[in-house]
Amino acid sequence: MSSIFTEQPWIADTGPIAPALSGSEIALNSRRSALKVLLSVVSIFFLLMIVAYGGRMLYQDWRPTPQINLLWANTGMLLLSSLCLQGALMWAREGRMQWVKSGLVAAAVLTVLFLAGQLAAWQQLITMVLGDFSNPSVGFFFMITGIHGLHMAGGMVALGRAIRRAFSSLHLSGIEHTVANCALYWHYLLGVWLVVFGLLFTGNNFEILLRICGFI
Amino acid sequence: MFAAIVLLVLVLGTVVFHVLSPWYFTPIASNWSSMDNTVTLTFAVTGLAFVLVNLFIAYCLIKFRNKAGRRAEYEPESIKMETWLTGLTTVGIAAMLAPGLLIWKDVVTPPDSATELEVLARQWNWSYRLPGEDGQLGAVAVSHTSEDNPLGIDPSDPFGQDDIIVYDPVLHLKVGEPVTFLLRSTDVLHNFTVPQFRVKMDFVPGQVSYIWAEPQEEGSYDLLCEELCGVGHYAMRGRVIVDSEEEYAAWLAVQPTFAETQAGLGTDLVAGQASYAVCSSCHGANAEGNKAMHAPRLAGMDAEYMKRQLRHFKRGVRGTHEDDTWGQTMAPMAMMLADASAINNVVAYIDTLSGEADFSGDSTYNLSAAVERYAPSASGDPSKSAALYQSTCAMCHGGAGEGVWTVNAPNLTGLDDWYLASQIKNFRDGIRGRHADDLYGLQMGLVSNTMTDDQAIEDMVAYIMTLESNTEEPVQLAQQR
Amino acid sequence: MEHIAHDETSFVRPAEVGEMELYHPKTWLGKYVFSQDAKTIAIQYAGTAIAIGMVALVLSWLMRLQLAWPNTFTFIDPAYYLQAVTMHGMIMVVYLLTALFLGGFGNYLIPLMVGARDMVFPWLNMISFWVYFTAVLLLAASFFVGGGSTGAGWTLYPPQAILPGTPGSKAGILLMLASLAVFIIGFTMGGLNYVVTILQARTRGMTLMRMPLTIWGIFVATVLALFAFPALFVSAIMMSLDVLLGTSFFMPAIMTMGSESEHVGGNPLLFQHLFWFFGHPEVYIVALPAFGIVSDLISVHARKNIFGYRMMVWAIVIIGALSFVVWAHHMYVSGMNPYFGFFFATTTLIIAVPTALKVYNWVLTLWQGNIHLTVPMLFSIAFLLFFINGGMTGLFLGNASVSMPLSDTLFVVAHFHMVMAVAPVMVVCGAIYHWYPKITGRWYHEGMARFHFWVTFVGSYLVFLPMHYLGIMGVPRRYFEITGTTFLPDSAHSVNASITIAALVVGFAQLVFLYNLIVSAFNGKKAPGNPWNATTLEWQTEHTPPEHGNFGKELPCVYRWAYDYSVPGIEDDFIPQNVPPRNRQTEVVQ
Repeated sequence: MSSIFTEQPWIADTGPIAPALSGSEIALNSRRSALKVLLSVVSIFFLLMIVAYGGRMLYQDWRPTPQINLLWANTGMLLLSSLCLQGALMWAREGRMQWVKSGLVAAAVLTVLFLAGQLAAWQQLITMVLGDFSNPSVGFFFMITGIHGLHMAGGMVALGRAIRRAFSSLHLSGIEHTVANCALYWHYLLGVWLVVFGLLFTGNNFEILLRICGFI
Repeated sequence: MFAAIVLLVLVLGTVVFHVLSPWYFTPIASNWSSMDNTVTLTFAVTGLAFVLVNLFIAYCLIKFRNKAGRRAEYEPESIKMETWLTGLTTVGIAAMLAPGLLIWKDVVTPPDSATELEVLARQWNWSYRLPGEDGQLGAVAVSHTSEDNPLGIDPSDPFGQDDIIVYDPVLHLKVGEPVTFLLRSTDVLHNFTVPQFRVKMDFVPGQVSYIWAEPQEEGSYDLLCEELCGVGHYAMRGRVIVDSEEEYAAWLAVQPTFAETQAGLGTDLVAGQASYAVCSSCHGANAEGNKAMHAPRLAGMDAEYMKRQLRHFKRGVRGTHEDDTWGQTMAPMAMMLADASAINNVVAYIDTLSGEADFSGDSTYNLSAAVERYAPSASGDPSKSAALYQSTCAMCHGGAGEGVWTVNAPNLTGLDDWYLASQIKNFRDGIRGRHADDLYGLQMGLVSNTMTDDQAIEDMVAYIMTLESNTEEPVQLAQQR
Repeated sequence: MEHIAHDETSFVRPAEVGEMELYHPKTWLGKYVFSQDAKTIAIQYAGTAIAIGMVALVLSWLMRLQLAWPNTFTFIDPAYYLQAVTMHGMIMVVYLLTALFLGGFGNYLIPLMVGARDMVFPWLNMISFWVYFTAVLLLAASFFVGGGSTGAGWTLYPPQAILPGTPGSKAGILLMLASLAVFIIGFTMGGLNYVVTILQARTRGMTLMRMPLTIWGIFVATVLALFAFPALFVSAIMMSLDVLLGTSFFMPAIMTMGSESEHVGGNPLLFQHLFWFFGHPEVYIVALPAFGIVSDLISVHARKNIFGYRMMVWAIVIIGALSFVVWAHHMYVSGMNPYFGFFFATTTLIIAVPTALKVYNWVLTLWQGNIHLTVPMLFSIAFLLFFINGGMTGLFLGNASVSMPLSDTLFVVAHFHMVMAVAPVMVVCGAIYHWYPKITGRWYHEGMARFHFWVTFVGSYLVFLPMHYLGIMGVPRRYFEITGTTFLPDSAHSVNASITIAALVVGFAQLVFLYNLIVSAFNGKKAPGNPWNATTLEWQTEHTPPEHGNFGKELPCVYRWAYDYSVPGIEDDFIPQNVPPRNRQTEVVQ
């Protein structure tokens, strides 16, 4: 890539030329690249919400959301599902198909539990605040957790396809990449959740958050 | 060749247009001539670049156009030339940025000598508040806002008691005195712009923004809202009058404090009844109105609106246009009301009146007389104007014609149709509402322009009549007799 | 891997069919409606964008009629006017220009110009179009719901966007937000495709620095869009929640129409920051593809390499990066902390430097060129005039204190129409004429095209130049009418009338343009495969128009940059990118 700075493009290629990638190689690289680009878009998305949250905190009348202990359990679920996928990836590389299948299914079940747990947390919060949607932190809570949940649900589509593939095909070729992509997505959304949960919805992280957002 | 010539004509035409056309800044009336100067500087720098680059293009189009045997040169790049051009551009841009930033520093830091005053913008009108003798503005909150306390001043805050309330879109300023305008809105975004002052700033509900200027030329200036604030945006006009010191003092002396506006709420109905004796000869004993005399029914008319109109008649803001025959009749009547409390009293008395025609002592009263005096005469088709009413009129007067006090728009229900029609026509034709101090009248005048002909006005009045039909009652009563 | 020669001068193995698994449609529906061919999708995008753009054009006529002859047209009331303003702006910026440049030109040109058979995710590409189409339908639906479409201005600023004093504050605004959200989802699908195709599916020898500037412009614009649209998405969600759930993201305690709202503590400026964090890059999302395309048009029709290609690439990248740190120059008078003004004025004027460099390099490309004044070239020259003019007025508005007397006036309207409406549209027209022979295989009607050019060029200038001066006089934007002031001379109203006449004439010329495009596609003269003698790969296809898969059996192999025009010592004045040099070495690496 350093050549991009020094290359003199008007000089025609007189040297040897690299061989072409095959179609399947392009497709493989493309999926991974697309996932990475998508995740950077998603990062901006969450970053903006976090900055908006931090900006709103500066106001005198800020009231944090009530603490919901269930969120800790949900965090555990998500962590475990991420671990399962990491395991599945490891096993896929070693070719241990049975373990891959169990890893994928376990991850899916844990993710469903996470989503159910988030819904339950919403229920709890609604009874706690009962109509107090005018509190901005409550609004932010529903929005950010909701959007995170939607991303997890979207990931379930890809995971579902990976599972179907793992159970239908007799040989492992290619599934490794599918699992790797799922794992990357899960780890990433786990990371997002940890940042969001740790920074916004537990305890009193005003100082840290404001510092990160550049307000102090 | 042709393309190059057209390009040259457009570019040189631009320069000629800029220099010769009469359209440029309004004459400045504030201290911000530095802004005009940087605009001129920017015009000079960018204008030069604009002309040079385009002349170069035109030259190339002529010189290097395709001819038989012509071949282009091959030159991938020239780092040296690109560096030079970049450097030159940077210098030119810095020459514009540096003075710009220095002036911006002045913009954001009002001088210590600046006095503060608050501008309250609200869909679609202006009011003002000046600190009283204590030099401090009292606390305000949306929750304190009501028809009796339109600016929402905290009644329990001692600093607020002596605040001077200007519940009118006309603001007076003292020439040569720098002012920091504290901008407050209670509904949506607005913007404070006096074109001759150059500076402008938005109002943001939930916070107070500021801008400062020193008016340097006496005169009367339009105040405009330049941040889209809804349907009435273009009609949200105010006026800033820059006075000499004496004129300003005279104006300030008659503005009420917050405490006075609150105390003035008590009314004397007996005095009001006495004053009304004169009114009743035309408007009727029960304020039922009389079409033959061109006197509208007053019962049910918005109280704040009546007070404002009486003040306007008294001050010559209304009823002075040469074509406003009936307004000219009313004006001397209003003169008989000595002061604000007299106006208050008579309006309070009118509020107690039923608006029902009293026939008991009138032996000549019969159906035809009732029809002549009270019957609706609008001949419009309400279905043709319903859409316009709901999209435009309803924004201020309410979907059911009930009036909205924050907009300072009176109710339209319970009014005589002939009166509505005649007033809308007056507004449209500039017979009413074109006095410089009658900003609400101007607003109504602008909006009434949406009714392009007399029939549209008749249709509109017919629609308003469908909202609530009180005016038929006298006729029904007469029929029953 | 073994390699065989495919002609006497090259020893590179030709690519085989099936390098990318393409789905070749078997049904009419699969070929023309749910097509996965990027070229068909491009035409679908362009057709939809132009169709909804025509609606926006008509809206602009209505606005102009009202401004020129206020109170003459009974059907235009203030609410209607604001709705026209809003929908005109939003459609033109997002649904026309963004979709046309990226969805239209991006889809058509990316695979062809980088030497790929198709986008890397053809199915996703097809879905992307239909999601966009849904967004357009939602937008169009808002014209017909109760209360009509929103009239909050294309910036949709709260609180007014969702309060009763503004037209369409209920269903209208919700449909608009929903449509934007759907648009963004669709765009993200398409954008991933464009970025990954450019990064992964370039043919052999097509290094990044050999890509035509068109691709660079579309590439950086797509990256900007991917990173900027989330801000609009977030604000759309937050505003919808404020309406539907009663949250208070943007809504402080307010009193509307005489009664107190239930909101408390929201911040309207937060929306503005989010909106312009999207909105300013959006300007470059429209401008950068135009920059790229016009570079290629000028180069081809001046028969000369683009001057300073490397600087042109880096200028695009730098402009793209800087566009994320200038957003609050839209907010100098918004009531935000005014001290931000120092930072944003400085960054904004810095961005003028790479932009100016681009202008210099376009102009220097003409120098010593062999300029063919074809229709695409004429439009490129027109672009230069409009862009330079609009860029210059940008220096007024970017400089905080200079902008103050001008902001919120028609000067702003004139500025952004010059720089991001007319200038890119000039490029759109030029580009359509340029690639028309490739897309349809036929020539457009030359006479009509020239008529279209001259009317549009001169007419648009006559529309927007005087408008600046109305703004300088103090005429505010978004005003239904401006009678009853004491500072405006009567002549200001005659300026408005003349602008309207020019605008109507320009609008009429666009109908001629569309007629030409449609009729010539069937009746035009047959065009050869490379009528302009251009170097880039899309002109080197086996068939014209290119079939699904673009390049026949062999993918081209690229040996040189896209600008080998009038190379000394070569008889032809162009060398296509896939022609190997004579002195090529013969061995090939694994």
